[in-house]
Amino acid sequence: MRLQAEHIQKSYGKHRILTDVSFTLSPGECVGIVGVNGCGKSTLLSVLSGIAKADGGSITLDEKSGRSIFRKIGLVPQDNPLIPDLSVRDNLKLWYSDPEAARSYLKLLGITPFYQQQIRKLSGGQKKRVSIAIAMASDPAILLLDEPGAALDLPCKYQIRAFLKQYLANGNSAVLTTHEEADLDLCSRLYLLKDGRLLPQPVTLRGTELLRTLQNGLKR
Amino acid sequence: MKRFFILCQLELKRALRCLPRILLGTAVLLAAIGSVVFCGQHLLYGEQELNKAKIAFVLEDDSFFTAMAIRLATTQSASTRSACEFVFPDAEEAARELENNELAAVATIPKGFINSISSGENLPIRIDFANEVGYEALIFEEIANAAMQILGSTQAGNYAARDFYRLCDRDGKPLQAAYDRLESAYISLVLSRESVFRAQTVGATGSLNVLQFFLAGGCILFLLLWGIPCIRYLTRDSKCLLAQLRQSGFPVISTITAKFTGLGFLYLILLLCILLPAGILWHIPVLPLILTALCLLLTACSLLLFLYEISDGGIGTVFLILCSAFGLCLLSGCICPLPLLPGFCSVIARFLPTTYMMNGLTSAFLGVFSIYNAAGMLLGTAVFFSLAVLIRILRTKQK
Repeated sequence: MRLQAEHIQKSYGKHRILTDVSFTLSPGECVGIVGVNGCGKSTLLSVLSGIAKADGGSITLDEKSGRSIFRKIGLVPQDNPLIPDLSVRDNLKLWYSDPEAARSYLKLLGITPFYQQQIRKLSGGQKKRVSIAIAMASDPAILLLDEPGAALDLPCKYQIRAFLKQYLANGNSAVLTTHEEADLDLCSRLYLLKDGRLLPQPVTLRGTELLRTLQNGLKR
Repeated sequence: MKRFFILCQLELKRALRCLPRILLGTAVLLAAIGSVVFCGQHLLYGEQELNKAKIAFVLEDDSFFTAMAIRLATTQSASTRSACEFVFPDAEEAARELENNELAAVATIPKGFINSISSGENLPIRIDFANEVGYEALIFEEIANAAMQILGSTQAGNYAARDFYRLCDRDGKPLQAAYDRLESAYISLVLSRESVFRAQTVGATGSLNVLQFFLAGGCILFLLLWGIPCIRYLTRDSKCLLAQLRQSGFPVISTITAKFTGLGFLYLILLLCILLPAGILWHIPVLPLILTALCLLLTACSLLLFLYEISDGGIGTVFLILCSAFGLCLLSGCICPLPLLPGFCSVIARFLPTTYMMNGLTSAFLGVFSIYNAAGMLLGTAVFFSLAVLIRILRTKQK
């Protein structure tokens, strides 16, 4: 499915976060978005997923618009949308109308060993994997991931990347905001979010060049 | 709808998971309230019971008539009995005990005392107080002064009646009979002044006894304060979770309703634990009690949800619950009966849900389900629930 965002604007009170964001996402494609903290990456993903309403601009999916298009877009937010007092099974029960549909993701994301455990007792990586499973509940064609590897250990990061590779290989697409260079290897395009606008960057941008680009982003 | 029921079911499960910690918090809350009540009672009433003033009557006039009159006067008045203890020793024993400060006062009744009242001669009673004049002696002095005034006024009435008889009937025989009746009435009625009044018990707690009143008031206060241990369950869900729920088709009202269901379930357990033993103890009909308990839990839950929505969910919430619970209970007459509070409290109380909670519960204790109070509680529930939803919607829009 092809996602098209045109001239997206978003403000919180008098503070303008997104000035004019436009981009397209084709099937099988992964777009990476980098930017300094507070530049509006999470806000952009909230708008693209339909959680926050844009002040201006349009979002279409296969040239269709309206609230229904957001059912095909899954969001993995930075904070996990989980109920800490309940088990993983109960948390998934809330989002999956068909429990069988969850089973494939349980195995794929390695959730099965702690399926019965209370969320409160899980590690950060385990919680993140459950969050991804929740985002997959509506069987989305597009997955938006907000810094999926933040504060996770290496094995967990690899597991999430492996899942994302397989997800993309199935013809789905993803938008990824990240501060990690290794995540950028998954991306086919790269953008820098600066002053509320998306600026295209070479996808091979790494190391000191990436650092310099981000530092330029700080000079607002 | 199916998903909403799943959400409610999960909230119930969540409430049940929180129950052990909430019970632990309840124990702490009970200990805290118990300590406050104990210290308050200690400060107010002290350790010792108020001593009665021990008064001795020495009867120099050993006629049957005088002894009967004094005994009647000292035993029939409840107010006098509550403050004084009367003994009738001989003169020597009374003097010795007075010197040892064992007596507060000694009243010596002179010979021909009663006859002197009838004749108008009015022989004085000599009252000796102990060297260390304490509050007992002061109390007795006040009682003696009051008795003197009563005696004076009744004596005046007696003489007026005598004059009236004398003027109306100049034939000696019937007049003597009238005098005898008058003396008899004077001794039996006037000296024991309580016999001319009808005994009626009037209490600020209405038809309830003091224990039932304080149980009802304490129950309402405790229901509201129980929101503090429930903080574990009521802690607001993460913004992220609420946003995702909204996005996936759970409107604000459904998430709050689910929370309300979970909280209601916790309250149901609590109310059963409090009210069932009370019902068994006082043989209260079960149906009014259960119906009132349901109304109580709905009102308490909606009020708490509202307080959680307007507060930050942390220590500020605890403070808000404390202030609201004590403020509402005080103004509604749950802590101190409304007739004992300033008049404006009664006016304010009409608009407070806790007034209807208190009145509803007191009616239930008397075996009656009050529809009026139930309607007040349900109205309060609707108002607070709507406000909670409204505040959540406004918060969501702000973000």
